[in-house]
Amino acid sequence: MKKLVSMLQLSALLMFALVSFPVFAAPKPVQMENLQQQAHAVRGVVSDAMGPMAGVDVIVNGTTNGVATDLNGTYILHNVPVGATLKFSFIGYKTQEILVTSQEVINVLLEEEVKYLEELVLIGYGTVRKSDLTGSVTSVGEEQMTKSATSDALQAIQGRAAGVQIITATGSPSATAEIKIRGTGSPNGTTPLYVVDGFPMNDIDYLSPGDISSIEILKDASACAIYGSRGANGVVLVTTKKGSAGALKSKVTAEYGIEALPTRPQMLNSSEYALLTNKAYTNSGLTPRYSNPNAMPYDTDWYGEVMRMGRYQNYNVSVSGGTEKINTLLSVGYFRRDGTVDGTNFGRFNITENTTVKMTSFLTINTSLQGSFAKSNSLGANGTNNNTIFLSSLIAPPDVPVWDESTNYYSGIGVIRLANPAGVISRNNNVSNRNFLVGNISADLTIIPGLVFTSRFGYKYTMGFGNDYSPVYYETANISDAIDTVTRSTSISTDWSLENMLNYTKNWKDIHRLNVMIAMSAREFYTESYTGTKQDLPNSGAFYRFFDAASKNPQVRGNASELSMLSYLGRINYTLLNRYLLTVSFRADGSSRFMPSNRWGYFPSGAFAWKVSEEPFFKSVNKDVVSNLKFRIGWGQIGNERINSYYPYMTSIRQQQYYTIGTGKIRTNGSTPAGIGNPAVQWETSEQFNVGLDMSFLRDRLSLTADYYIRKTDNILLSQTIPNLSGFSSMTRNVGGMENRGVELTIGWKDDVGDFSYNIDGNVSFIKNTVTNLGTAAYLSSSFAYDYALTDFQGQFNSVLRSEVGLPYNQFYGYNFLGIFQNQSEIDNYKSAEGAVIMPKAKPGDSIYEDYNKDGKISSADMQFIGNPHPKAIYGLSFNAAWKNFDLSLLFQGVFGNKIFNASKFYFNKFDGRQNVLEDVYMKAWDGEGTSNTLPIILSATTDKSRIDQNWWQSSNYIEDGSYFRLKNLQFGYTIKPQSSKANNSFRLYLSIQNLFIITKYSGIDPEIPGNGIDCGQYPQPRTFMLGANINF
Amino acid sequence: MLLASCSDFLDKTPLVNLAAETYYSNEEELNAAALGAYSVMQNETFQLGHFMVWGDDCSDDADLGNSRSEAYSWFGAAAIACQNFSLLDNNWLAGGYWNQGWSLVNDATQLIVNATNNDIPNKDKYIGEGYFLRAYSYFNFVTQYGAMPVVDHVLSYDEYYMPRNTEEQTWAHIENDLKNAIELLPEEWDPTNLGRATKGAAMSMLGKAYIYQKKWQEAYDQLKKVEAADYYRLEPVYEHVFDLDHQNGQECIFAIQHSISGTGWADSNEGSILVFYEHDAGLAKSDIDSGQYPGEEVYEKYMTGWSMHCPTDDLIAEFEDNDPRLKATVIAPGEFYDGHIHYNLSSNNRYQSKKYYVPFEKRSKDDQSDQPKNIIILRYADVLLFLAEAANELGKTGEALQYLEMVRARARNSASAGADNVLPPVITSGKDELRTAIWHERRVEFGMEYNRFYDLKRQGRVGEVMQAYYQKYKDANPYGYKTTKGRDFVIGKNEVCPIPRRAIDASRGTMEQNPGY
Repeated sequence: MKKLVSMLQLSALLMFALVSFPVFAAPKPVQMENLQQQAHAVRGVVSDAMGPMAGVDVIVNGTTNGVATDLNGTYILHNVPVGATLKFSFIGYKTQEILVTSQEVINVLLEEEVKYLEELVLIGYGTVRKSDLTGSVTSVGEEQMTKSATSDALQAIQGRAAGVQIITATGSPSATAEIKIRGTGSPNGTTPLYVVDGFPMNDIDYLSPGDISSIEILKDASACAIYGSRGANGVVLVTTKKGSAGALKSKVTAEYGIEALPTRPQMLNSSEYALLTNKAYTNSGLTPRYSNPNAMPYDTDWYGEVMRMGRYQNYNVSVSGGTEKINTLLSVGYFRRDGTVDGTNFGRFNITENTTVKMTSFLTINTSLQGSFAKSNSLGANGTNNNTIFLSSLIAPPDVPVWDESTNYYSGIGVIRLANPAGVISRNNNVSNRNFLVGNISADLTIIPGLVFTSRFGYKYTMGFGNDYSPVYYETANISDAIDTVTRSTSISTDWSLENMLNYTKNWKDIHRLNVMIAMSAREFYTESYTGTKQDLPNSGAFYRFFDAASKNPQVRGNASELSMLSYLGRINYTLLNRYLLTVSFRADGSSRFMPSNRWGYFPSGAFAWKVSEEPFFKSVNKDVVSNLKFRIGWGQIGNERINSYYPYMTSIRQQQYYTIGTGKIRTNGSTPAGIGNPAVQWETSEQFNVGLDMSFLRDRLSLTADYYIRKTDNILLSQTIPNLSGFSSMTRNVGGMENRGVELTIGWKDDVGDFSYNIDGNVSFIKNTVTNLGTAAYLSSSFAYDYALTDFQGQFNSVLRSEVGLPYNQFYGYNFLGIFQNQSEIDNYKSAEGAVIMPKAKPGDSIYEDYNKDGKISSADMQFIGNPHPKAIYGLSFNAAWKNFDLSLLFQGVFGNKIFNASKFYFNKFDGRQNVLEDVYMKAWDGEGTSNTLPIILSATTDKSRIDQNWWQSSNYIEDGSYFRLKNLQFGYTIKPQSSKANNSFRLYLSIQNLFIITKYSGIDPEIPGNGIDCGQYPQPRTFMLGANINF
Repeated sequence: MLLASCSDFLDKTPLVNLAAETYYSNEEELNAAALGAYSVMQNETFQLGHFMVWGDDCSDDADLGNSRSEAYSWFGAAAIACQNFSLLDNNWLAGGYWNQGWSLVNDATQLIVNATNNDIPNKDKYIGEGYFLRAYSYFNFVTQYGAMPVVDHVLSYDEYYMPRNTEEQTWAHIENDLKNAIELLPEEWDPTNLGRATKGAAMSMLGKAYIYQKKWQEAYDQLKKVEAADYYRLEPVYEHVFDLDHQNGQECIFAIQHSISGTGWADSNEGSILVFYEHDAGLAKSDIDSGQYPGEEVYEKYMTGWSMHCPTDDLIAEFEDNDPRLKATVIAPGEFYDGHIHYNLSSNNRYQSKKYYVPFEKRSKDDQSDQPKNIIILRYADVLLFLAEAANELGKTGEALQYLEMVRARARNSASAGADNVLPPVITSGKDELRTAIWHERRVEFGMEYNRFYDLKRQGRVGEVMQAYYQKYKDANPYGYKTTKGRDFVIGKNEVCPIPRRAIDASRGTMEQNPGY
């Protein structure tokens, strides 16, 4: 609150300065000698393509004799000498200079300055000139958006923004990317706020990258604080494409591609598998299982059964144009991807309409409507089984057939409790639909020159519809279903916001520039979902898969929640002498999530920038060498409202806690308290500090931006263990703290050499994450999410992730693997200081673990931190070049210095006689002294399961360097531009390759791991070859 | 500006979930709150550690199956640690009851407090259920872990950190709650509410609480009242007690109700999962192919279980010749029963438990964890044998023999015709001999009913019995299995489980650990 008061005082002082400054800067008297020439009054109307323009500065060049146009665009300027030059200027327009002769009326038509418009940068609730930015903002333009072969706007900006880590979640066609802006600020999620054309929302899954004209990422507090409680994880501002006045323009894009996995993991064939199984049996003291490994009846290629060539298709047609009064854009697109795993696909139809109407010179109305209809087929209700299918297709034993003809059963590979992958695909009927309708309307009303009132209303309707049918089947006793089930699920959510904003801009002769914005915002969110199932259909025919055809066990569930927010906000941007830039902002947010007494949160920020290159003393510096130099400094407080529970303050009663009563044993509704509410719950708060430097050299050919920041999050909501006397074991409390410090660098170079033009842009960011507070907990630990089918992971990996105060969040935790016992004497000599043999039960070929606590034995107390999943650096490098009609662009992207917990080794390298492994294991596993120090002895799980498990405990043996450098995208194009036709006509043909190569030491399939850096053998990203065409006419 | 005046814009009533502050306001809600509390008892974690592992598998009566059972890989290590009586403070089976028990205490307390404060017609019986369930949860606590903090109101944040009371105070809390329950509970519920706690259940439970404290006179008086009230009778045929067709029958005093809920696998479904733990894990395809096990077909999913509650040779040997209760308690290897020959290869001696066996045709076909069999907590034979025990301790030998004979006679009469010399009446006048006879009778009468460890404990001999068990079976049995059960039992320590380490940690030093741990 103290900070708030001083902010207010500061604002008041500024207001005073603004009011009083013009008095001191009064115009100088016109010099007497001009009177000798003929002086007269000049008047006229200044307009642009749309009509008269208010607020245009008209000034006699070289004097202070000036005036601004009124609402009708007219001006009158006295004492204009003949031969003087009149200068007409307006932000965003080309300045015009007109020589005054004897005429008394000078009408001027100003042209929009295209180059200048590009330099405007969107910030929350407004725009600023790029050179006037005080905060840390990264822009990604339209051209960059459309390079990647993806349906997901976030994937399209991967590698293009410093400090923004984007991880492609999986290779599943419907996967969306994960984003982290400036590291992990809270365990409760890293998802930023998205603002599409001014309308805040939780995700942008519905948007097609082709419909986006630019993305701005607000990274520091001074930029994000205007979004208050929703801004702590950064803000992604999205601007969609708009129409423009002029002739009708059409653009057609068609892309078609194929995709496949870059590498195929080589597993054992049937004979090798039999040989290795026999070795395992022998090593375990059993009789070999296969009598004739060289003549195996089956050699099933499970991978081949499951994987296929994927397909990528993207088509888009857009038409735009209009008059000065009304212009519009209409875009229609269809995207489809058939995944590399059989039976997975994603299709989406997008339609966008965007219209701007200039009702009068002072009222503009903009409407947009976007529809997005997506349908995907994934394996398993939540899509996660996609991973399992890939994994199980590799580890399924090759010595069994896909289909057992005698029993009609899929043969039992279920010994590892993984279902037959071909079986999973054949009975998969899971279709999910996600439909979005987003509508926006906004009105800009110019009240007086410089004062604009904006009101906008946005509405987003999301509907999910799922449709599944699970047939009767039998693989093994545990992988079977005696009854078939039809499932329908629906979720509907609505999210509306209303924002009213007053924006005042005033320019006092380039000495003071002032922008003041005040606004209010209201938002309401509602979501409801229900799922129904019914069982026992007459047969499995597709025409019966509806509820009325099923006869048993109808069940239905449903849930709903709602949320409202009310906000008041304001910001002042003040520029003095085009050198000193100050921004202060303030936001107050009220949320229905909290108790009335804790409902309001206050989020102030301030930033200052100094354009050194505009200083008089800098004039001596050759502008050809250093063309721009700017320092920035900013501070702010923001909140994180993305907390898990909607009403964490409330102790709620849970229904449907059924009990059985009565002679008929009737299932009867019961209710119990569902948890303990914490009335004191509040927002997580983030305090951030940023210093930055923007420079450009050699006439802007070389540019550099550098930022250093400290991002501290406090009041993190953590589930704290409480005694069970409460009835529960945990309670949510605002106790956690986390800190991220980082450096971000962006360097760009652009040049033209004759017909050849090119640019290179590189960005790199370094982040250090530290947990600063965990409340009463000594540590936080969690396991990772694995598919239920991978039950072997259960018990094998416990709490692999651990966080402690003073250390990075969620590091890997386990035993320190020291190698493999080569012989009995190594076992006997592995002793504690007291002389106790540390692993007395071990045998040659077994894993050696460090006795970390030096108690002479190996127990869970010997677990320690074994790896940090956070990269030391993330970077991107792009190269674009054009020569005559050819163009080439390359995007490289990578991370450095992170570790991966390669849990897939547990399946791909651990042989136990029940599953297939990588071919490498056959040659490289320990088989006598000196043969291996990383792969333990091959044993059979029939008798040695616990020994195998111990050899594969969670340890540093799973930890690998996760650094990689990848050519994310390559695009090569050729443009034909008929010289005879109009300027806009063109035809471009291009070839694009996604994921062409990767350089990494990582032994797993793909080092780009979503989540917490634990590789469970997920559905990897494909390599895509795509041919595309753009036609503009 | 717009909406600025709508100060209630931010007041959202949480949807779907009701708020505890306003709940418990009418009879329907009290009824639901009571049933919600009962439903805690159906949870797997409520029953598994306290009943099956600790109550039986850690005693000389029952044993885990072997690694042929699928359950063994994730369940075995923790269960064996329990059987060894070592490494218990971080053992999810030894600590499993902790969360569930407190959850039941909290549900019951919320019901008692809120219902008492609200003016609602007919609220007494629900409050009575609250008292009964809280006492029952405390009874389980005190038998498994010893003295507990006494919670009799809804706690505030600071009170979560209260220390333990003494064992006497804990028992006093149980007695108090049961006395309140006796006052408030109905003698019987209408048929649509069959299965809920009754006055008789609270009276019997109070008697049992006295027995566990060796308050012989109070126990005798209390249990006499149960007998006099004439609420219960023994089932004429012993095996009917466990029969699906005789559930909640004349002998049943209190049972956790289970039925098929059809909701799939869930800790909180209405089916019994203990039944699944004790069903035979079945044969592998290779076993059938070997031809050694004729008559067996590949099991359907619902036909298999986990073989984690198997009768020991020791228990089988305890039965007198021709005692028909043996056949009602175990399925012998090779026995033709329920249309199949049973082998139970996953059991260390091939025996299988029978009391909680559900015939194939009655099982849930879609989820093995969802079986329709009640878990009996108290039955009239308990009252009779407790009466016999109390009477004997009080020197009323004749009366003690009478009650013992009632139980033996029913068993004798359950025998198939033609068996000679079945269960002759006990004739002894020595107090110690009679005590031994009653203890023997309890063992065979209640075999595999999840009680043995707690009986041995209150009889003050659990340590010596388990140590002897280890000596007797530590070397291989005929099937090659060696036991480590009882190996690390320390007398004076292992009679109670340690307070789970996480509970000690969570209490920030306010909760004291049991001696020796």
